Amino acid sequence: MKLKDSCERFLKSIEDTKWIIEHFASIKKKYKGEFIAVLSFKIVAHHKSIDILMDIVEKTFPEDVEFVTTEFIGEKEIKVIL
Amino acid sequence: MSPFVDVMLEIPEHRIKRKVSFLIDTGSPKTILSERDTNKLKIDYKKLNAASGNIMGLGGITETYVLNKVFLHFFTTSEVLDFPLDELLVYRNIIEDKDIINQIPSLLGRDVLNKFTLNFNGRTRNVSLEK
Repeated sequence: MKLKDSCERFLKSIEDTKWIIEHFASIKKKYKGEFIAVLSFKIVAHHKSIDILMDIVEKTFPEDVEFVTTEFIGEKEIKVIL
Repeated sequence: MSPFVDVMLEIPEHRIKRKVSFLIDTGSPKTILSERDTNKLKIDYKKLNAASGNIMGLGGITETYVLNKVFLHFFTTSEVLDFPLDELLVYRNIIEDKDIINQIPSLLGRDVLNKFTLNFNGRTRNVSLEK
């Protein structure tokens, strides 16, 4: 992948991270207790195990696996205090 | 919203390159890969070297391992900054509650942050690293 393309691709994946944050409440209703994988503002896979989720992404979207955004949708809400 | 930075993490020894979100932690002297992200990268703890002593971290006392010679790739609109890191700590939590473990993030510590200017706008929630 050319440098410009990989920069564009990575920056696009950052938008997926923002998309998850913005839509977290509605995502939580459906995927509580699971990991989700997001590509281009779409949940493309979900599973309780991150290993299996990544297997699905690797198999289904081999060209995007480096850039995929994943998140765990926790049942308990925890606050990270450093 | 907490200050996260998305980074492409490359671990040549394990032939792994994946995007990881790091929580910026100026209180941590070291950059740390969480158990959740270690599992995302499919790193086998059995193949890692243990760090000396256990470390008090998020989620309490953790078993800690070390990955050597990794790269953090930071992206801008037109270039990639390749940041070599001699030592990346890898956490394994002692607690067994997966719902908590899976929410504990990786941390970007001062071993990386000290090489940048950290800009954080609390009003807009924007965070950036400037070389």
